[in-house]
Amino acid sequence: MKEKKEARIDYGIILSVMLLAIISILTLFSTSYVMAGSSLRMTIMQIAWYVVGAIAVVIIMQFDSEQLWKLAPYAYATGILLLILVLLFYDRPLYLSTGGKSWFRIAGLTFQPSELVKIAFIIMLARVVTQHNSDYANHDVRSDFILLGKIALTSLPPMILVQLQGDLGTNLVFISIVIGITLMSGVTWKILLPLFGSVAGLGASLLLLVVYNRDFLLKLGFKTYQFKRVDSWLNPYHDTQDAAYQLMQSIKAIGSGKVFGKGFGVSEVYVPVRESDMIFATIGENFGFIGGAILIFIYFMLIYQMIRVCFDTKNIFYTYIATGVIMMILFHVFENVGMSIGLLPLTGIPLPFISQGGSALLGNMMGIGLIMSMRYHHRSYVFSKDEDFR
Amino acid sequence: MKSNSRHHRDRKSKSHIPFRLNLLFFGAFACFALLILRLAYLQIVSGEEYEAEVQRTETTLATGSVPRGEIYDASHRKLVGNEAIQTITYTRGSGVSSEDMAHIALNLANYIEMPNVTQLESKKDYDIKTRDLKDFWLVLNQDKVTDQRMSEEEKKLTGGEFYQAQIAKVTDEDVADFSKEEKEAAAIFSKMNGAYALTTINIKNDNVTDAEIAKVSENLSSLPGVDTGTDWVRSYPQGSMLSSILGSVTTEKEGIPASQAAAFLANGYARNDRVGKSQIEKQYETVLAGSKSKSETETNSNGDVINTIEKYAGDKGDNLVLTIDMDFQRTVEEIAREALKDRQGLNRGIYIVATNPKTGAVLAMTGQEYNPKTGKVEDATLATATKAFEMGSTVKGATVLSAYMDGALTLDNNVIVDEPLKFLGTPEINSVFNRVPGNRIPLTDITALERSSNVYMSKLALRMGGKYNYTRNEAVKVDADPVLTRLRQYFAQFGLGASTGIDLPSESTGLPGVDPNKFMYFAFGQYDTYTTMQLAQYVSTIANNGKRMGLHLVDEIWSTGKDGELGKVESQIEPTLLNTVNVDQKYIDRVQKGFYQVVNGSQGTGHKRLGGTSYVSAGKTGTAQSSYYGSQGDPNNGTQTINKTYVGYAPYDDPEIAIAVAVPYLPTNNSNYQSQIAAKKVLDAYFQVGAYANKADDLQNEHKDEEVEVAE
Repeated sequence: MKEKKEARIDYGIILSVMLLAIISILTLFSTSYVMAGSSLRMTIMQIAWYVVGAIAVVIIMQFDSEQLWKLAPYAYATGILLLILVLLFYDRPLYLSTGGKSWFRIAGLTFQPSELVKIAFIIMLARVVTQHNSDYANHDVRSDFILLGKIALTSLPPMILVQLQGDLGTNLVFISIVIGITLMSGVTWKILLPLFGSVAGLGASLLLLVVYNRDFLLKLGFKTYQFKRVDSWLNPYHDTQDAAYQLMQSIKAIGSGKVFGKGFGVSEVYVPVRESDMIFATIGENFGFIGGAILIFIYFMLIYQMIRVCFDTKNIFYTYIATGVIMMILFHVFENVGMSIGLLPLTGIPLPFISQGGSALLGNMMGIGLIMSMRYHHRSYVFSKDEDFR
Repeated sequence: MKSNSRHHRDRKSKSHIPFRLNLLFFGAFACFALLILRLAYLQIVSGEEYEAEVQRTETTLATGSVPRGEIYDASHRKLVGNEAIQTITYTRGSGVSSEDMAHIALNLANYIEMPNVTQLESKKDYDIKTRDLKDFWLVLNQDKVTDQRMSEEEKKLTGGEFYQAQIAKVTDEDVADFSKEEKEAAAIFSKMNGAYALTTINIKNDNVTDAEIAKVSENLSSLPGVDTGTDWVRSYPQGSMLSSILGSVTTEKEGIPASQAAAFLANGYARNDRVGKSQIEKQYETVLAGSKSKSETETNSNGDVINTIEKYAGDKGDNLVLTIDMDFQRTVEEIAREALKDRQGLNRGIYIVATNPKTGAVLAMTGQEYNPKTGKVEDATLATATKAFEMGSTVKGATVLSAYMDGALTLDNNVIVDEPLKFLGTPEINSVFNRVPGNRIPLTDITALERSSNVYMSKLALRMGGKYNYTRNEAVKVDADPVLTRLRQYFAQFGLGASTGIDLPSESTGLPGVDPNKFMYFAFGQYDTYTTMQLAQYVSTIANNGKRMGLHLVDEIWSTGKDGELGKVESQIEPTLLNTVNVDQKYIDRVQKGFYQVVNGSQGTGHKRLGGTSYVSAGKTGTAQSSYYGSQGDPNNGTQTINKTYVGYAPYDDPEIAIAVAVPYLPTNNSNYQSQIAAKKVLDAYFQVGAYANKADDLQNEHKDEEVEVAE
């Protein structure tokens, strides 16, 4: 039993996050202070946010599943309220420079509520699915459709509000969370396969429409700048627009890093917004393939351990939460690194734990807090050796 | 709700979750594997390529303007110079977007004042138009305009059409409340936007203050592409002297003339280069322009300029030294203005050209015209080459030589009777000295010139038409056209009705008459019209024994010395022999003798006003009936007027100067002899005698002073 007690703290996850924190601080220092020659403020702010994030982890760890269960609707409602408020009281300068109504400005600090809403949304969605699976013991097509309806009802309010902010990137995160939890919810493959198939089909046809019939998309409310990203992704060298320039510069920076990188703080290529969304350009350029691969491996290990916790704790509610957090981090990493290296179109999505940005880091750390709390509270209700998820 | 996770046991035979968790894990693995593979491809497989691309630099040849060559008088005194001025310049980098420039403009507007932006709505003297403000606003609000204001149709437009559609969506309200600084930024932006990549333009080159230079210099790091420098503008130390023939230079805004853009561009000019716009500045553009500085700008793959190497410092344009001496020119101008005080009737101007008959060098030229609107006398020197008049009897020397060339006149048979000529249905032609019908005065070619016989000349024209006998009141049975054709060919050999070769881009060659019945009038200068410049070349040709020299204003081309003044002679404009009149010297001698008699003979028409000088001159007076069709007279039928002219040269034996003077549109009953009076004064001034004797010493002293100054 002593072993179990020690295992309450998941040191594997802590190690991964700490490694990411070190990489983040070094990379930001390299990007802002060494390369751009600006002040240390950004690096110090990042350290401060890590401290805040660590405190958030410790606090969230204290909540057990029962408390989280009760908390979920309140967190969700608060999140929706914040999303409404930000549409009214968004920060104008940031709106003008980015075109997104996604930030509050409080005492000089900017704050993006959607980052925290992701966490509330994950908990709420996990609760909804768990509740449904409890009410409907067996999955059949009818009950699954009811479940999908509930998922949709939970997902649409935040997603609509985020879309109103003009933040497509965050909505893609919401979609991936929904996909992950839906997959895990046990909806039968008879529905899932056609559903995912049609989602994939819809995505593909959107892409084709971007290439061949933009007018139709414009009527649906898409914006020209979103097309530009697809254009530059498909053909970065042909396009001379800003987005393509950013992508080309990023690819050049990373590519020229070669296997071992150019060394700490060395930058030969100008990449716009290197400190936030394009941070991977610095990692690729400074530390090369080795550095980039190690970073991806750390993320992989983090996700591995999260899945491990699910297997260890065998709690359905937790598993859904974990799935949401995993999908959130996985999508962030895949999309951010993918766009930096020309694999995916550009979207305004930061690299989790690494990019500069307090709200995003806090959101991710809360996600880590949730995972940590799983193992932390696990022992208290382990009283059977059931091999199955409860 | 009492439900709790603890109670939610899935009692199914086997949970789906482990499988799906594994699936999720596998999905994560696949995603990361994909990233690693792509990363490996970028950094390991293509790494070298990207590295090479990053290291790649590009060198571009940039050119910079050099000061234009200056123009000096024959004594090396500056007529047109360059004045250095402080400027604020901008060089557009190759990767600089319009939006970047708009921000630089906004920044720069904090440090400098742009002139005239506040007078936006006034008709002239403004730097910016409302359109400039709109362009500027559009650059800063591109996405807003596209997304919110454009229709689907318009969004499909490309290139210029798209921009036109965009700019049409910018309303006056958008630009209504621009602050002064924003307006200045818009003015700066419009200048920046006109620049081609890697070429330098002036943002401000007018009244740049030291404070502005200091502020901009201090903030260069935040103003990429902006720099301070020096530029030049044309200055005229002698004021308006000869301004109409020196010409002007285009402004940077005007740039190269659109009509010759292709030719200029092919010769390495930029669109905003200042080039000679008119007259000498235009004629000698290739000499004055100089060769542009060349520098190689090395840019890295970001488009940042990393190195600029000056390959060639550039060479200031070469300088022109004119054939005209400023002092003589000034004196001639004074003489002309003095002569205008005696204006009568519709006469508005006097035109004088003095040349060296042996070289064709123009020694002085001036046109002075009274402007009735301002009540002032204005410089109209160019009119000596562009305004043509009936020059009257001054052309008779050419008539006599034409008759010799045509065989209508020989040394054995040159006595012709002067008597009033009356043909059926035409007005009587007579000479001033013989108006009594039936009164017969036999004249030789020489006395005909001396006394200026119109009848002698008319009979020469009739002889050229094959008619040697005259009976009063008979009908003229001469085919006029072949006579006129031949006369014009002969006259052209003297430069009358032909180009004088003057080095100005806009010379008129006169107008031919239209009524062939009056062909006899051609013989005494009342048919075709000629410019004063042509008249000067005609008398020079006679003075120079039939050798017609091309007229020219530029004598030498000089390089620039280290002190910025004249360096050494690069090349001399060689006298050009345009043609030799196809007539034997002995016939020319006759005409010269006739001209001598005009001034020195007791019956000479110029004897009274030009004779008795310490130098010996020859010449020919002229009086022509003309019709004035200008705004002051009868616009339909014209007002009958008299043009008075004089041509001459001196010294008679070895001519140094030839002169032509025209005073057009005097009243028929005038008492104006300024054509002769001014001619004598010019000759006196040239030989520094009479009223100009004292001046001669002054001038010589001045020359000495000048030379000393030059030597310094």
